[in-house]
Amino acid sequence: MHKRFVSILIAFAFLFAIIRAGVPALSAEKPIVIGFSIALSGESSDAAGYLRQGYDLWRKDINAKGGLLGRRVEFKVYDDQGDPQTSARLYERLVTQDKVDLLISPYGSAVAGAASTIAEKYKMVFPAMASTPALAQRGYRYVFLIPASSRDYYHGPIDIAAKMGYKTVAIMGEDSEYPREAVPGSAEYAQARGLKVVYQALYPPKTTDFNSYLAHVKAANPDVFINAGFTPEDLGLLHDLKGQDINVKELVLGIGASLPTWPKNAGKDGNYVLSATQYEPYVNTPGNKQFVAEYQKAYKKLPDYRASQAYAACQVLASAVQKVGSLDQTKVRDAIGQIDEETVFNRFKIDQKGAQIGAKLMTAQWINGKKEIVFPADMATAKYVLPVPAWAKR
Amino acid sequence: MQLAVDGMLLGGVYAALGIGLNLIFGVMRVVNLTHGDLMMLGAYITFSLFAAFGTSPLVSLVLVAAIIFAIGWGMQTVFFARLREDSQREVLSLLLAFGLSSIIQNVALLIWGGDFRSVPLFTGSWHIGPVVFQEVHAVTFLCAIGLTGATWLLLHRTDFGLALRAASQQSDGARVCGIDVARVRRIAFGVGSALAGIVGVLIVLMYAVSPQIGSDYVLKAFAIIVVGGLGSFPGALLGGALIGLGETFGGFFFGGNMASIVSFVLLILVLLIKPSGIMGVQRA
Repeated sequence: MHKRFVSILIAFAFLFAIIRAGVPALSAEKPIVIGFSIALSGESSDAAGYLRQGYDLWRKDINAKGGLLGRRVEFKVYDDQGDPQTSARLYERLVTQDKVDLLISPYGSAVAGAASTIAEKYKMVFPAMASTPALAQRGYRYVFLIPASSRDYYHGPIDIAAKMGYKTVAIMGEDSEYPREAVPGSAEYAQARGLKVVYQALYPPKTTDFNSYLAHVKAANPDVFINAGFTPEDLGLLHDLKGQDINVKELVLGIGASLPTWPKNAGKDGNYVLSATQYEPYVNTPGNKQFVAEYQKAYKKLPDYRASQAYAACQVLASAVQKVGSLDQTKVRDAIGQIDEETVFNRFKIDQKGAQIGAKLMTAQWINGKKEIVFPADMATAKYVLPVPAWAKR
Repeated sequence: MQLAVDGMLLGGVYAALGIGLNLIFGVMRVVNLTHGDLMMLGAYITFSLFAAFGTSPLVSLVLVAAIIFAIGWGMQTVFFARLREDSQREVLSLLLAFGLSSIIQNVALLIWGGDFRSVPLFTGSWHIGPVVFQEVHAVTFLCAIGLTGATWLLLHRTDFGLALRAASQQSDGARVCGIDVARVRRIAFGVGSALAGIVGVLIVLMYAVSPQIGSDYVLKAFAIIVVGGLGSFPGALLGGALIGLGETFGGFFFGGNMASIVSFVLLILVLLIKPSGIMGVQRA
């Protein structure tokens, strides 16, 4: 009994030591503390890692340059496991207990949406990592979006289709945040560009077998096929399109085909597939070369769009804080509304509601196993190869 | 017609998934939630071998079966063998398997990361008249039939099968007859696990996998064996076929959200009308 009491006491002593170690020591110049939650564990932790690394790299850079407003920048980070409710709770804590000076966003549209509600409640500026324009339609004042709007994702491929004189398009997407915007957004734009939408459908998340949808697509025989999805759905559709021998002239497969994992997963069939991409390491934005070099040095891999967006969000925030000369949230927010500048990621400009209108997407195509930018023309690294060859002739 | 073919082939995949689970659940009364995760491991091993050495999945099939057999054997020896044989056995095994499942998923996340992976082979199709047979689906379908047959033969035509059935029906009696019940169970767990691994090899050819997919598939697998009948091997085939057809036709006529409801509506119907499953035998 006595032994047990002692071990409990020791355990408590350790616990206190850990808690105390977590509190930053007070120094003469008080640092600026920026708070956020992010998925350090769980399903989305890998993807969220890119965001975290973008943030960390910016903090390193700004401190090397003498800090923000002459003060060191420190982070206060919590693990939200990719869960919106957890994240909201943690942002509540960041604001009320930790009393952080600035907030930045967690990873994922849904998580950022939940966190932004708390930021707005406490009138804290919030650069949301969410491409869903709906987040900017809630009348929030302090929340604004960094990524390009998901409604516009597939404008590029549709522009190309119109140029090629294609007439019909089938548009599918996963029934989740970004495709729910991207699918109707693409349909509207296709109609505006004179294409006829012959099939449009949302399928539930985690769908693996697409044959019942493709039976409709086969009957409609479209010139262009667009899927607004992620890697598993894009691969599944590629597989089933080939399996059902459905041949379209232009094949666009969502986010999946824009990622570096695509060629290994899709093999030869992945050739000629188009996708929308927000960022490539070789884009010519100011400071990008240095950003990529530093990122590669620190993390032994190339940054992706998430890392560049994270860095860009901090750039914008810092730029506004420096302009205002203080951490007054309302003034900083007003300053952000006036910003129109190029970050490492893309152009940054928001409308009055906080929606992103500056960032533009590029269209990529896999040509001979290499991802080439084919649209817009001024960014292009290669000319698109269309129509894509039939499955039987590859 | 095309839908019927697609549905049947999809059913084959589901049935293959159900068979291994049926062996462990139906025969040993262990609710093996790790079944889907073992499948995921099989899928990732296949992917890694293919990515690193270009190993054909047909070769890795043998390797995967051996590795996952060993894991299953180990899990039974270290963990499941400790479960008491009383009325709470199912519940306890569920909790135990839930924990193990979480461990396997996170270890896989550490090793392979969270990216989706797939092996782009056998992606073509065969045309017979106007009907298209997707290669992978057809191969999987044949494998499912083969696996069912092999498992049935193992259970009903070998001494080991006899011992296993004896051990499952009356473990004390079996012990009296000189059967090493613990050993029989270890092998059965290994075989059931190996079956999951083999399905994983087939799955990674068809779909993209991530460390978390196991939980999605294990739910479906349970629906399949409950519909078909616990412990009944033709039942797993039938359950797989019914759910495959249901999803394909449901999806075509009512849209995707209905398709995912179909399997669970079937499950509820079966539980209401014939709780032991369509081809199940009533337990004494």
